[in-house]
Amino acid sequence: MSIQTPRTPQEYEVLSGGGAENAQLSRKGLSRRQVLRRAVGITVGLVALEGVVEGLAMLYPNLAGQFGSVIVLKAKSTYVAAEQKAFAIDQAGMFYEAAAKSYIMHLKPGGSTTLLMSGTQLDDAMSAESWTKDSDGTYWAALYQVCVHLGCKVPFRNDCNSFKCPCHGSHYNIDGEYLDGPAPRSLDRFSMSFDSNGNVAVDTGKLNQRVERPDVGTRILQVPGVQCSAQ
Amino acid sequence: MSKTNKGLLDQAWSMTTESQLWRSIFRHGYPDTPLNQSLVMMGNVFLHLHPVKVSRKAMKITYTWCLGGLSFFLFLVLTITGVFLMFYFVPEQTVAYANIQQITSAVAFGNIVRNMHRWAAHLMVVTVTLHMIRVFYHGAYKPPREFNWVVGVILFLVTLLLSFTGYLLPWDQIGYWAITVGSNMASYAPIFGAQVHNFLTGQPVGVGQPTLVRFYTLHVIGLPLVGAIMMAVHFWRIRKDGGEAGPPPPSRRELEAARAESQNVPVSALN
Amino acid sequence: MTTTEPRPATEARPAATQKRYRTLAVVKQEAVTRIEKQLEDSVFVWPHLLVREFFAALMMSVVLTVLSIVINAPLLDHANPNLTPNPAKAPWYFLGLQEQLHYFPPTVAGVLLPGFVLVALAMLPYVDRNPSRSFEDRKLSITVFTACALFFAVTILMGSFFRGSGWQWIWPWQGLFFNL
Repeated sequence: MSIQTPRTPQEYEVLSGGGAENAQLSRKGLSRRQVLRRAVGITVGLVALEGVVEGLAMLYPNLAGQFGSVIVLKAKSTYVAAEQKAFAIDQAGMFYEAAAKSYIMHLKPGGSTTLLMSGTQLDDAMSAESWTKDSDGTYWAALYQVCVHLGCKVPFRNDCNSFKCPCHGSHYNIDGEYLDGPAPRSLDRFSMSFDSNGNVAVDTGKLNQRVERPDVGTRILQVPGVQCSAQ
Repeated sequence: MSKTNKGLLDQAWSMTTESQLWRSIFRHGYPDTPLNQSLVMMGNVFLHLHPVKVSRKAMKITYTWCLGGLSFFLFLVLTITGVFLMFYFVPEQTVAYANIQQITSAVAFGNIVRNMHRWAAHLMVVTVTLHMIRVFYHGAYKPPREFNWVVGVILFLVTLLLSFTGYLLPWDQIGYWAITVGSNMASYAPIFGAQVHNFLTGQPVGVGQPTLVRFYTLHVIGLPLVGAIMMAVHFWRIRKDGGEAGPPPPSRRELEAARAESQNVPVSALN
Repeated sequence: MTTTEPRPATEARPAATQKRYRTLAVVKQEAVTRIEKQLEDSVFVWPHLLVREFFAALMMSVVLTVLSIVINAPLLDHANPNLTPNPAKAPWYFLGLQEQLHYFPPTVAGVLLPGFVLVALAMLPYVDRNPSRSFEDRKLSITVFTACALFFAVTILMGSFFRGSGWQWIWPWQGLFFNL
């Protein structure tokens, strides 16, 4: 700052036209004014910040407990594990959960379950297809109910031992792997976990949409081998 | 201070203010000269409600207490917070209450915005009332400002109705019964009592879903629209009626005394 | 106008020196006298008035924010048409009327009185023909207005803080039946 020569109110009026009040302020020096100005500036900043932050935060959707967030479902024991051929909707192996818009698959190995892989190859394939291996050796997955072809809800067909879309006939294995039909890839799946109370929790905000049509090398489960009618 | 000595901030500032964009928005320099102080008031759509100059006496804080301005400011706050609340509120009697609970518990900052809306509404009733009382005691309703006083009375009524209609919306026990009593009172109006009641509540008996929708619509658009139009008239008329009235001039006795003094006649001689 | 009319002499002059006259404004007589009025002691609105308004708005924002952080707006139970709270009170600004309902029939206290007050308020400048604005010259109108304002203030206070269940008289320290 350059040296300020004190001005008379008349000079100040001529120079800046601010009136006697400003002239007085300018003669008194800056320290008190600066304090006041900063206080006002900070208050303005806080009020503006309040407006912006509250405005944005209030409009940002809060999905707690709704579709799009982690949804805690029922206890693990509700979802009875089953072997591949024994799957029955809402009774054994496959359970529909409307709140999470998903099918919970609980697969028991051995018996009629035919895993086409083993060892690290199986582990890699499982993580790629968002399977969860439980401590008792069973497998879990949360399949998104929507057909990846054109968005119809895919029903699980007990008679087919697989998912068959009613709209255009896309056909998926019990773990959502693509079998046949127009769908470009396998069913999408959410990441799932178990909470501390032993309940199944599905994170409906995390959708795995990258499970390709499997071929001989990447298929985890044996195809059902059951004739499936269109209806 | 030499020109080459300018800080980076100063340079950036002068570059901004000399840019075509800035100059297309603000047609004048910083308002620290009489010319620019006039231009800013005349050229800015938000500021042009004010005159360029104002009487020093009428402007005093202890004269107006800024009550009219604060009422308008609270109206703006209520509009903004109200719009935000509208995003989460559905005027349906089975969900309205749950919506308020959702706003206060689940929506980010929802509680504080609802509180602001509520307290600003109560404060606005207070500031509008005090403004009216202030104007009365200063005699500022007298000619040429008679009509603006009438507009002010309408605005006072609109403020009360806005607050009253908002009271029902949370659909809790306070609002429900306040509006039940209030609307039943309307049915005691002479001759058209029942019709007035039905018009308000949308149903012949009690308060229900039609009442909620009516009060909601009045609250979020009907009354604010009337209020905004009346406010425009009110502000416009302040200017057209000669600006703020200013403190009351001397009384007749004081004027006579002054006149007598200027004529060197003893005051007692006039009586 | 016809073309045969003789041209005004001024048009013969070169364009640069021509003087054209247009009606810009009609100045009425009373406006002329107003200009002759003594100039008031006035200041620029920018910054003098705007700074005050800005500061008032800022203070109001701060007060409102603090108020909203500290005190929660009331929310009672879900509306129940089969359970009237006792007492059922109107918003505070209507409690004066509700207090008067206690003494007068509903047609008077609920409709005629507020209607009369509003009409009287609106008619005020046309009824009060006293041209002076000085306190000293307006003793009657100020007395009447103050009495009315006090009447409403007192009834609002009574209705707010001194009425309990069944609209019975109750002292504020015996119990508060008041919701904002």
